[in-house]
Amino acid sequence: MKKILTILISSIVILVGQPTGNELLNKAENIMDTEYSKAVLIQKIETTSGKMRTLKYRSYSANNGKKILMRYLEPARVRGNALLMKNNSKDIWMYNSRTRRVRKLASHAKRRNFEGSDFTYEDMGGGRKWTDEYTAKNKGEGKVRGTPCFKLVCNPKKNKNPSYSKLIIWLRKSDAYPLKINYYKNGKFLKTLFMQNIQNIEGILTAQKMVMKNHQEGTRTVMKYDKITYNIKLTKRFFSERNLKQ
Amino acid sequence: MKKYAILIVILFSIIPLFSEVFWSGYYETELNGYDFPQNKVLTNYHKFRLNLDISPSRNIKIGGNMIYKHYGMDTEYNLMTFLPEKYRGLQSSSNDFYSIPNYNYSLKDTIFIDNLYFRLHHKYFDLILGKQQLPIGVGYAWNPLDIFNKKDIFDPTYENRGHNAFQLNIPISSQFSFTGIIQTESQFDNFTHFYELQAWLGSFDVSLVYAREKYDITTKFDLQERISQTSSSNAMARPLREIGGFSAEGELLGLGVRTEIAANKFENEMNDLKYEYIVGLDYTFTNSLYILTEFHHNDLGAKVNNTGLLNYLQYFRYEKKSVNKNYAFGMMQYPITDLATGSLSGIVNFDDRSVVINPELVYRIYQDVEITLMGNYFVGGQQDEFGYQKYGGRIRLRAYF
Repeated sequence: MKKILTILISSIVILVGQPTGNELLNKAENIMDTEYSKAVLIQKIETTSGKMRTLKYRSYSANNGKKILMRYLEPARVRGNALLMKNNSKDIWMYNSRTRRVRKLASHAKRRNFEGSDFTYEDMGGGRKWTDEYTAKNKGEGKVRGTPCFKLVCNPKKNKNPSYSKLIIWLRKSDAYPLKINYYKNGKFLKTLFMQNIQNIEGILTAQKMVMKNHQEGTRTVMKYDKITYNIKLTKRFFSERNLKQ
Repeated sequence: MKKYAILIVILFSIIPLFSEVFWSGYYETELNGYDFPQNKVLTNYHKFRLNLDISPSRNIKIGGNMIYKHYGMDTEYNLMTFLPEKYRGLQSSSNDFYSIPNYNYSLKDTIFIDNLYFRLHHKYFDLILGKQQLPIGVGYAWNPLDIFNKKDIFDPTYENRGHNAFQLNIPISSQFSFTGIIQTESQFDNFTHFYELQAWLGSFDVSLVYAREKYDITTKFDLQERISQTSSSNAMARPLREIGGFSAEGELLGLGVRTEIAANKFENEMNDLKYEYIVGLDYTFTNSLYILTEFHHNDLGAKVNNTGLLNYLQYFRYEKKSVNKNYAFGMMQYPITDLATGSLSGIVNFDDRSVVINPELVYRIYQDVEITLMGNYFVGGQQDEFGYQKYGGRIRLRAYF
């Protein structure tokens, strides 16, 4: 009897002590939130034929990623092109430097792959909106590369229509930083994102390397920061169609 | 050309000593084939475009590009080859039948400065002076509000030529901006004016437009001497044209939506407004399939039974954006692999019920090298706009640097 009571009480303590999925998801978003940032990123895309392509761009963000302006630096084919995303990629404008034309894209365009990589426009510039669109359940613990993690299973909230039908997120136990995310679409296991080489940059935890593996296509994209700073202030005017054409 | 060359030498040799300089450009080669009932035409060109951008300071930019184009294969042809046979003959009022002479056309090698402009960026305005691209309108295949550019509906995303103009953009607030463009000519009365008030309202970008220009329009086809009573030195007219218009681009019920409406008023038709408009939709499916449709109506186009050679001449000279009145453009695009994108587009002429279907494949051979293969399959009657030609195609290779 004593033994049963002990087990029962321990279980209750453990369960009560465990953070909920939504709490952990919220914590993960907060830990990655930054007011402003300016970075140069390099994406190396491994194609199905094994060829490597490189994409380099400058990215500016504000309001915790709700506004993002990206300007392509390489390759030559897209140099000077730019992309502006606002309101968590609900409003998207694309600028073509060869034609000097700005086009407004509808939000469905965020499903498209970013320059042929395994990241979609939504992945690149969605802002941290997991808590708006998903309900998370804490499914216990696991390990990613030997690091203890919480495992969350996230399903879309009612009346929300995110691009992915399910996410499984592994959050580092020590600080809820995401280390691995599995993306599912229409029941199919689509891709996995690994966040690696996490460093403290100006007080903000930042994954210096992100690897997206596409299990459907057999491709892989590695994204790295060449430079990044959070000590920057960007005006509202900066994130405008006018600035896209500069 | 000489004065441009001197200016370029000065700009590009002195200024780079003090500024950031960016070189870029591309080499392009294209082979075009056209299959007509009585003959075939094959043309090709090699094009080299060199861009130079100089930024003497953060707020000043001098930009420009030079293009060299070399033509090969069939460089001499008769424009009439491209027209249905019924336009090759003409009956005079006395019922004598005589044929329209050849419209011989020659593709000549050319080197020219396509853009050369000075840009000043200020907190309260942007000023651009010189030869510059002027992208106008939100339509994909047609732009009723665009009084500057010539658009090829078989290749609507190709870059446009530069225009000598003075452009001023003024951001009025975070939601409104004003753009004024003046294209100069030898006389002030002949200047082209374009004014646009832009607003960002919810999920829509909207614009109100006013424009005026001396409208170049072919009014007579040039006949040879033996028909001297109709030959004319006044083959072109330049009535004043005013346009009031509206455009909107945004999202409705999850679909991309765009519309562009132009009401044209000509000085010789004061009480008669001619409307031209487009309405378009687009959507990306979860499997990345992208579809786009656009409907175009043009009051300035001819009714099917009244279509004549003059309508084709006006269309080929880009004086009118279509031969007839009612068209649709549709496209489906899909990323076949990470290096190849396939698309299928079609253009329908609702008036004569002819269609052209264009399958296309774009393949990225290397990071900065891509090859485009496009075919054209024409369906319609022998006398229809898209029915006379049987097949067509294009292979284009472009290498960026």
